[in-house]
Amino acid sequence: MILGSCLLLLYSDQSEFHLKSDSIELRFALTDERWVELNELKQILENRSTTGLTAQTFPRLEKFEDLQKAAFALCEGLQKEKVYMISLSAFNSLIEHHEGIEQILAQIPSVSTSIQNVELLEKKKNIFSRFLGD
Amino acid sequence: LTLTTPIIEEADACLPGENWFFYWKTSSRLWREKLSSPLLGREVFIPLFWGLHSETGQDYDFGHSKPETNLKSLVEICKSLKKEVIFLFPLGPMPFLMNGGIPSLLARCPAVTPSGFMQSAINADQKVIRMYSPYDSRIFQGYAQFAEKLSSYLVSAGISAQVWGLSPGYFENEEFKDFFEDRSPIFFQALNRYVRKKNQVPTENPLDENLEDYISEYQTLIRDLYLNSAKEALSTYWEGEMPWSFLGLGQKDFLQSLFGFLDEKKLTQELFLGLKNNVCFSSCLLGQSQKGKVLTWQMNDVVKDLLIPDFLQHESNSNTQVKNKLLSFFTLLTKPGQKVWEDLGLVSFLNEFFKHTYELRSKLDFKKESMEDDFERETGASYYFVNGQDLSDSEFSVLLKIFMNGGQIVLASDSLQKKHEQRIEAFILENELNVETLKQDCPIRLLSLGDGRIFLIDFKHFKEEGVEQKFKFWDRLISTLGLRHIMLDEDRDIDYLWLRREAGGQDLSYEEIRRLKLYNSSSYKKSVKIKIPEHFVLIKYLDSVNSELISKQHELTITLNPKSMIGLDFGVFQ
Repeated sequence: MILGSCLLLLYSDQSEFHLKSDSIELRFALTDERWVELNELKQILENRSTTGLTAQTFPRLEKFEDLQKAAFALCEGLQKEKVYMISLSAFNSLIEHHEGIEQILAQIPSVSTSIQNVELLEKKKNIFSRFLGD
Repeated sequence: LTLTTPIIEEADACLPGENWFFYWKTSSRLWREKLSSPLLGREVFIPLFWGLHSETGQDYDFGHSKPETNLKSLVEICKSLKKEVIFLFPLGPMPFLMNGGIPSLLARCPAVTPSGFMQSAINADQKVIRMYSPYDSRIFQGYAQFAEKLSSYLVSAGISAQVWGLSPGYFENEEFKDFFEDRSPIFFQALNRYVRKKNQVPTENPLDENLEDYISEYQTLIRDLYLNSAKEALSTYWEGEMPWSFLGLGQKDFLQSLFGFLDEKKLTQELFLGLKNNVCFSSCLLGQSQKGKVLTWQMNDVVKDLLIPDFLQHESNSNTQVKNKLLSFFTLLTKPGQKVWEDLGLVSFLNEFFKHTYELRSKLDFKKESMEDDFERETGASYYFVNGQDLSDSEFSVLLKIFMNGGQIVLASDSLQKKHEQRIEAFILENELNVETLKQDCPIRLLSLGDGRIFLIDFKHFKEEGVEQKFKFWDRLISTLGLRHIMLDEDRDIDYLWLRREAGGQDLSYEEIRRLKLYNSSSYKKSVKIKIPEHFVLIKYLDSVNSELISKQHELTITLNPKSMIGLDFGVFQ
């Protein structure tokens, strides 16, 4: 898998889907291993009150910063190293211009906003270092 | 050293078990060899590739330049091999063909799903197929021309073959969707023009209150426009149209395929949905590695043995043995988009106690419902649940004929149109019918004529009842029908299929034979317990792969290991 351990969030914003306000809406979520239903995401957000988001309106969020907050919490909750947030228009553009699925996957990092789960990466790095005896 | 020549495998041109032949996937010189494959049945489905016959949508080639476009030669080869050709004419973008099968010059405006996702698919070669909006007028003009040109060619070449309209789509949230559910800019432009012409308020703001109604109306209009133009142009050859679901199509499947983990369980569930909704299936978008063992067995049992023979309306193995049919006790008539039987709790009840033994239909067709089949009539195969809303006059007449033929009907009287209510009252008087009035959770009038019965039920206040109350009501009502069925105590992950057939000469004096096919597509060991009721006896087990059966008096325990299946035949006696 080109993208490694990751969570991919596809969202639509006002320009794409005629939403009334500046809000954005999370449409699909999947990890490198499985599909994640929106209910499961909602549950993760409810369990992580530190995000300051109300899970009531989820998957609709007020602004992009809220999506970033949610993405980070979900990435932690699902124990993934990275989360990619890609708008539907950017994703559609990838589909429109590339034929092979590997090409599409390879382009995702360049057209999305990503957040790394540094804590998880550090933890993995430490385990790896200990294993090698550094 | 890199091997650059693509290897054409047998499965590339033929779809084993589904009888498809893709004539463009192989050189015309290899057609005979490929078509001789024992994997292909007697009937060969040949989907027509519009874009192969015309790159521009203006000029057409039927073998004048490219030999791979010579349909006459293809039909002659099939005939010499004693195979019957069934051409499948597209009634929308074909998701297994480049650009959905349209000529490349017409591929300009991509289609978009209602959730904003570009309509696309990943094919068996892991390539992205993009679909284009059927609301682009250039596509429609080209399409109508293709149908005309094809028809002229078939006539002038003296080709005799059936032509069926293939309406491609996929299941999403348990509903069949097609590519006319488009929300691309070109769709909204066309919709605006349509609404303006109707002298209504222009839909400049897409959040208009009536938008959904307009959308649905306009979609139906354009869908019918495509269908009718194909039907009229090819009228000499036209046999009918058929919805066809493509496994692996849809947004969820696209994303899963992209990440390389297409869910086999979801695909197998779609097969059962297809059975319930009378939709045929194709697995041509799936690569060999994506077709798991269980899905392959189910495709064989469901598509090859049930859906295709039913679609062709003949008995594929009629000369050698009696054919198994899907066991279907109930037919629920409901118009697309209506959730009447769901709201009344009937669907949940049937899913709990009569899973996979009911069908959902959107219209009643007398040819299909006339109970001409003696076996069905004798066993009283189906009970009809009919919602009166939007019922056409011809469908209402079909209902009365079913009743007069001894059929059993549950009719939601509160939803009946006034004219149909009056017709029922007149029918009661004319035929001096016996009418009983029952007071259950809702008022019931029971009309009887010979074996035929109509339960006229007023469900007006029933929707508000709790789930438990609804289950109790359906349980009481269905128990009066005197159905004989085996209940399973099964794990939710187990898929199963009930079939029935008439008892043959070697089947002693059974009334009928019921076959239960159980499949475990999960990676865990599962077990199923079956209590054998009166009037049933286990005759044999068959097709056992990776499974065990322990039989005690009146009870069976089946252990299904991961990726396993088993079939059980039960005799039914008086």
